[in-house]
Amino acid sequence: MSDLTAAPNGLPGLPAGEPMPVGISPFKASARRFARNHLAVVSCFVLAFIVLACYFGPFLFPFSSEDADFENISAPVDLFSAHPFGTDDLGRDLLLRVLDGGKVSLALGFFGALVSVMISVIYGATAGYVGGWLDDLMMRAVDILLSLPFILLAILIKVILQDSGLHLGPIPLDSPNISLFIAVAFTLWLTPAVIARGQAVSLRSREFVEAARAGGMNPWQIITQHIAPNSVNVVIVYSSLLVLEAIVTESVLSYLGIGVAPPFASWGSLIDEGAARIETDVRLLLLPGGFLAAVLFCLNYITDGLRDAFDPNER
Amino acid sequence: MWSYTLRRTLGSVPTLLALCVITFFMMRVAPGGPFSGNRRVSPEFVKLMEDAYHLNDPLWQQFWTWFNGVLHFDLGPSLKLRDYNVSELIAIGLPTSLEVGAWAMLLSTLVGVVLGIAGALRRNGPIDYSAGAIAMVGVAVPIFVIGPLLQIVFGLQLRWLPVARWDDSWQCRVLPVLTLALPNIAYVSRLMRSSMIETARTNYVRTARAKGIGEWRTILKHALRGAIMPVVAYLGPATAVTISGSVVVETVFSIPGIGRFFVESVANRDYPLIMGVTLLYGAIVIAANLVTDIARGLLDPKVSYE
Amino acid sequence: MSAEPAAAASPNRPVLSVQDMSIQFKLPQGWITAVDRVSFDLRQGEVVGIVGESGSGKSQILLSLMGLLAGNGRCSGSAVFEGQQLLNRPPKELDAIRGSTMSMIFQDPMTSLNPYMRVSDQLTEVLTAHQGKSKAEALEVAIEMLERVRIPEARRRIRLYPHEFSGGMRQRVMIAMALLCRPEVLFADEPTTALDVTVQAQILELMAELARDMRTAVAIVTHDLGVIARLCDRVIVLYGGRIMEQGSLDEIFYDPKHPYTKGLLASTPRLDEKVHGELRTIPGQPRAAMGDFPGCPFEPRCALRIDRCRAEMPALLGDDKGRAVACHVSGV
Repeated sequence: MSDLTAAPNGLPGLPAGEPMPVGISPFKASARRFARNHLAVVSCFVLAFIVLACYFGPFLFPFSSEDADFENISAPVDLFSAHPFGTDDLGRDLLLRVLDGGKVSLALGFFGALVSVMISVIYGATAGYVGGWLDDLMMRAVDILLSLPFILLAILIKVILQDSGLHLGPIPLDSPNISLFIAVAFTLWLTPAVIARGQAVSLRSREFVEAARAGGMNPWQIITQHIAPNSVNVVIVYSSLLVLEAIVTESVLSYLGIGVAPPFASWGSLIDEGAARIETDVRLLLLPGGFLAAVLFCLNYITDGLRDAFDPNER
Repeated sequence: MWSYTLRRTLGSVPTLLALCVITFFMMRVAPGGPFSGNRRVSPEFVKLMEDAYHLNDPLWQQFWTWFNGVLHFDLGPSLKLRDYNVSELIAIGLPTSLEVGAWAMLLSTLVGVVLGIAGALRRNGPIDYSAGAIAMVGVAVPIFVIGPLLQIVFGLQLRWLPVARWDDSWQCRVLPVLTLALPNIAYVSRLMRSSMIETARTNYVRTARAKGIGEWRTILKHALRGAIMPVVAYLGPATAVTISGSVVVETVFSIPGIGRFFVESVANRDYPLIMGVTLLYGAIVIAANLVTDIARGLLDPKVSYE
Repeated sequence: MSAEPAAAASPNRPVLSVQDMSIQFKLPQGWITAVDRVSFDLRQGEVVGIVGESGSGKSQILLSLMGLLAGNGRCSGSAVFEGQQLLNRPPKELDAIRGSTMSMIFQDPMTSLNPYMRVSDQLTEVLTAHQGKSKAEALEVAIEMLERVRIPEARRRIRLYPHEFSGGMRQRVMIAMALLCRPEVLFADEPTTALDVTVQAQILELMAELARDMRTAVAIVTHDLGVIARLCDRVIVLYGGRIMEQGSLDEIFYDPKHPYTKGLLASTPRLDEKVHGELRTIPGQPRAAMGDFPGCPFEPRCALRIDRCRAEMPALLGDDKGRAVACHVSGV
């Protein structure tokens, strides 16, 4: 039990005015703390390896993921053959399919997180800077949306957009895959928006913002040029968590059959296929499931590492 | 306490109204109804069907008709399953969903709290490490991977439990409840552990120790009371997580609950059913948040005092 | 308690005897000594003040005696109370003593009471645990004690939660809680530091009065010489984890021997003295790691230092009446 009680606040024997080690910027100090977290560093390497494997691995195969090899149907795992993890009942290479699916999952995760960061920062900065009733209204809306189960929100956005027939210039917002991407980004921006707003509120009265206002900049310019760029850093600590959530959201929707549409496949849709056939071939589930779990483990450890390193108070 | 409870209850009414408005208009702004896009049906028939379901009335009028119905628990007819209306479908699926969800919530809260306390009391001991490992798996591996894995191990390999069957036996419920509970077990145990460690360091727990009332009494009467507060506050969000999870779990294990209906209604573009389920889920989460707030008020004298 | 007749026979019997107590903490850079071979006695009914600056390890002495040392700390030496060894005793055995014959008042009354429990429950559990009283009996005793610490409307207020009390009132509750079982020894760790200046004096008077009535020995730790002057019979001056000087209140205040004690007294502003310009201070900072040097911890800041001070810690030498000084230059 005694190990529950930790060091007292004022440690005896510590000098009152010992100078702090100088010459390390806060960012460098945080980066060092991160580098000392072995689990997080290893996770970075594993993640990098999986990303490289997904995007460059397929070039090593002389065939594509949809090519059927009728000579080798349901081939077993044989690491030194043409199909290292075997083939499915149509003769398609299992590993290659998973790597190709990874491309979709990882890209959606990364860009979905990126877009949600941009939305959240602009939204949060606007609410926090303008304040007053607009702030109340905008944050009340976020609260209501946050109280909905996230799958519900993602599914609703995706379905409505897909049925809407909307086009943004040349981009068809109603295509299954683009609407999926937007649904992912729009489901995730809520929590970081709350964080960005908090930062914007504290920035509002800072000298450089006062100066910009005195210099005649309009509110929109101040938000986009001063508030938003200075709010990004508080959100960026959560970026790996956002990538993780984006990947999970995409794969859940794809698993439920509301996600990626052919010709594309993602880890989620491959797991959906595999889960339906666990009685015949468990590899169809284990391979995409293993890759997905590995990526999520890595992102989790990286998130923990980033939070401990950059935000030591938030534990 | 009573005025606090009343205030909180009234405070959730606007949220519920806003939810109604948002759901309704979100679904109706999407052009292209359930009868368009099907080329084998003549335009006249489409018009006839849309008239029958009031799809061509002005939007506000549609909302009013629908909202009036909602107040009387009438959520309109289902567009695809014509013999049923939405309320009937919900009445069919809700008991099943509630059963699985409630067990999962109960299991995850109990197991999470116990694991968290055990880990905090014996830090870096075997229980702490196992709880940490469970938590990591629960947080990182999505339930649509865990569910099928459990099916393979306990259903196909060991043959202890059915893979995906739903009847009145308890065996059918074990794997779905476990799968649904796991993410929250993970989160609650982490929350409880860190909160317990923090509380054990507070001055008032030190005071309790100085009183010589015994270690167990100190933990159970003094430390636990404060340490459980974050877990209580999480019950609302945990409900939302469980609902999200139940949509997936009911698909994985072929359970005839609301989550399955929802996924099917989305695939069929069965708008009244989609709206009804969305509204129901939203209302459950709002109610859970309300209960959480009241529970916090009961447990923490400072909350209701402010 | 059963000790009463024995106490009457020998009024100066020490109730608590501390010998060669050392406390160390494990920090990333290694073990650091916070308290170094401290010895003192606490006699029945007397009030002893332990004074020293922040970080001199004085609070840790009391926490170690109560078995509340932090997880990264360890202590050695001996502390005998009612014939029992206190140091490094399992918490289970200490629980028979803690809260009944030995109790403690903490520094911060705002955070030292449990915010989730009614004051009544926090008070009565001491009596139900140690004296086996029923809830109703315990409640009556608790109300009586709250009245003795002069909390108005005690019968009603005992049902309240701590946040419904002011800081001074909470410290009164803490005092009542500590005295419920009429302890032989009461430890007080900076009991008034967190309070308004206006209520500090009231709280001190109250503590002194109740301790006198119950013939409880008090060890009070503070950096505030005003508290010492108002309350104490005897004073122990601590610097760098070691005893620099000890003696009766008058001896320490009117005839300080150790250069540190002199500096400490000189740097305390007095109302009956005109202050010209800046307040006087002792130059320099407390030394970082203690116990790791062979010499006197005060040596780097001492105006009277000689070469020997650097090489050798002076022994605490004194007479048999408890007056002692540890200094090579100015002894008793």
